[in-house]
Amino acid sequence: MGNTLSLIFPDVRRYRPTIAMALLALGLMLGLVLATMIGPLTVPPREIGKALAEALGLMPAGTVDATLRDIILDLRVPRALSGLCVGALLAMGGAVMQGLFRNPLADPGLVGVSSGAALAVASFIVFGGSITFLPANLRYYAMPVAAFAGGLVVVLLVQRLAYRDGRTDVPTMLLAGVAVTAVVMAGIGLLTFVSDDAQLRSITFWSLGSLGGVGWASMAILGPVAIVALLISQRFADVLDAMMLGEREAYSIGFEVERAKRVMVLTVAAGVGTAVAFTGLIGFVGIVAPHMTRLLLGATHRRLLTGSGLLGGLLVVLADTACRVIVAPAELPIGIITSLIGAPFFLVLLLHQQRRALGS
Amino acid sequence: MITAENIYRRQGGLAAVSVEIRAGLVTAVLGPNGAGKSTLLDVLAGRSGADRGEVRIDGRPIARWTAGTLARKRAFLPQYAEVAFPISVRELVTMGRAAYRSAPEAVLDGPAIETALRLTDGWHLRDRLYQRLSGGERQRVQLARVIAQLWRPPAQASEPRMLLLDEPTASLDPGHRLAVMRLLRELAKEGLGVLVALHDLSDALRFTDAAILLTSGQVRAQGATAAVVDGATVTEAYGAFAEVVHLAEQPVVVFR
Repeated sequence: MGNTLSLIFPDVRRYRPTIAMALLALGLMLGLVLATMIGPLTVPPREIGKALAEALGLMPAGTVDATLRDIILDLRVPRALSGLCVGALLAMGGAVMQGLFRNPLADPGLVGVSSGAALAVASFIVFGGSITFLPANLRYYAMPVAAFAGGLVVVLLVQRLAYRDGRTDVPTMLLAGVAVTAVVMAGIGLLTFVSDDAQLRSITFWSLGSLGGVGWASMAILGPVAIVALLISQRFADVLDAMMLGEREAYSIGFEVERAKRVMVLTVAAGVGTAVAFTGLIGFVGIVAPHMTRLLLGATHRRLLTGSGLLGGLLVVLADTACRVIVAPAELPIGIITSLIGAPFFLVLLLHQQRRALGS
Repeated sequence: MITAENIYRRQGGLAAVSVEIRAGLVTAVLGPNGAGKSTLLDVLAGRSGADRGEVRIDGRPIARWTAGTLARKRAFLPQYAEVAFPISVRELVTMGRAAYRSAPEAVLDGPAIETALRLTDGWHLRDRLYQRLSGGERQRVQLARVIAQLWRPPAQASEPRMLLLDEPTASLDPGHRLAVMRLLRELAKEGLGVLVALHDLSDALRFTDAAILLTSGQVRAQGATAAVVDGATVTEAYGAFAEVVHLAEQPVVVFR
């Protein structure tokens, strides 16, 4: 099959990444449409088109049933788009971390973003009853802000611990991340111990992730953050490529590695922190998406980062759709789906790859 | 030109080492395992700092050079080179051109990469995955990467450049080993300053102009290679009886 194809299109190998990227973008579009269609009430694609046209002022108001329009425009579209942004942030964060640690098993949580955010959220849930001083319209953002800040504080601490003689030692950062995470998890354990049943339930659900709470209010932050993260991470593509050879090689080739490392960790912390802040912890997307993208598009980062963003977005949008359908009218936490499907799938990929490497 | 004066580095154990990498010459760094050859190369390339003493490139302290401008002037071939993710040989060699990204010289990337791969007999490997290559093939395409980093079109061949290599022939077969040593001579003839850590003393005698012999981080002998690599000095430095003989009109170091 491959041979016939390359006889007809001699350059098919060279265009393979471009084709794969186009298919990925197409798949994402379809995923977004699917996510908008499926739910307790199925919405036909025609109505989606009409509702969007109405919203953009291309069609007079009233062509779509008002309830249907509200479901499409106020619930499903912002939720699908938020899923896209969250997945993209997690996956790009994973791709950057894997490049930084030169390890395909690295994930954004390694430097403590997730555990820091989780501790802040647990504290917020247990002690946060006293934020009534905030105006109601800001209260929605209070927990996300706490999560974001918690993640960032822990990452800064981990980075500080690994900083010696003017450079950030990456293996030390990994170990410091593990150690600090252990301490933070103990803190979360303590909080669950003193929490009441309702609080305990909130903490548990937060740590399993859900897109149930997102809407245009979260999209207003997630959207710009995802775009900025994509643009910034593209600037790292070259240095991440060079770091495949090792940090000192990257310096010898001409990169200011130290500065790049610091900015990369902070970018990932901010991006993943924002995602986690609105949806809670969503496991495995940060590992699986970059890994699959590497198989599809190759390991050079210019394509890998964008591709991971698209694929991560697609995975989260699809997983969220599944969550809404499986136990409807209730919703499954999304972390269950991503781990349940992501982990075995990841294992199959790894074993397959191993066999291929041994066979050659 | 790279000059290092009175270099000390505790980690790696260098003491009072002074050395010069001069344009047009191939200089060998010799010494038994653990003598500090790699440490010296790292310090000279700016990859590690010196505790005392100073490394200067074209008269300016190496710490004052930005990584980017330095990369256009000196390239470094490490002894071990693992690449973390699967990439093609062409992608690997392209990384050597990173310092010219978004500069006018970027138009030369194509010729630089092709020339470098042809010089190291790696052009036929260009679409292979680096991870699928043998040890010797990897060493050659890594060499191509650092040559691509310093490559200039003939009109700019007089720009001073320095190439530092840490045991570039360690896993090569005899044919490719000779080809690489000859290539280093050619590069020196074009005006590059070449500094190469070597274990093969016969190769050092045959292909290098000057040598620095290290034992336990200190300079045991320094000067023209023929003067440094003599039976008595080598015997003492390596702890094995050595003699320089001539076979087929080539100087050869024989250990007994």
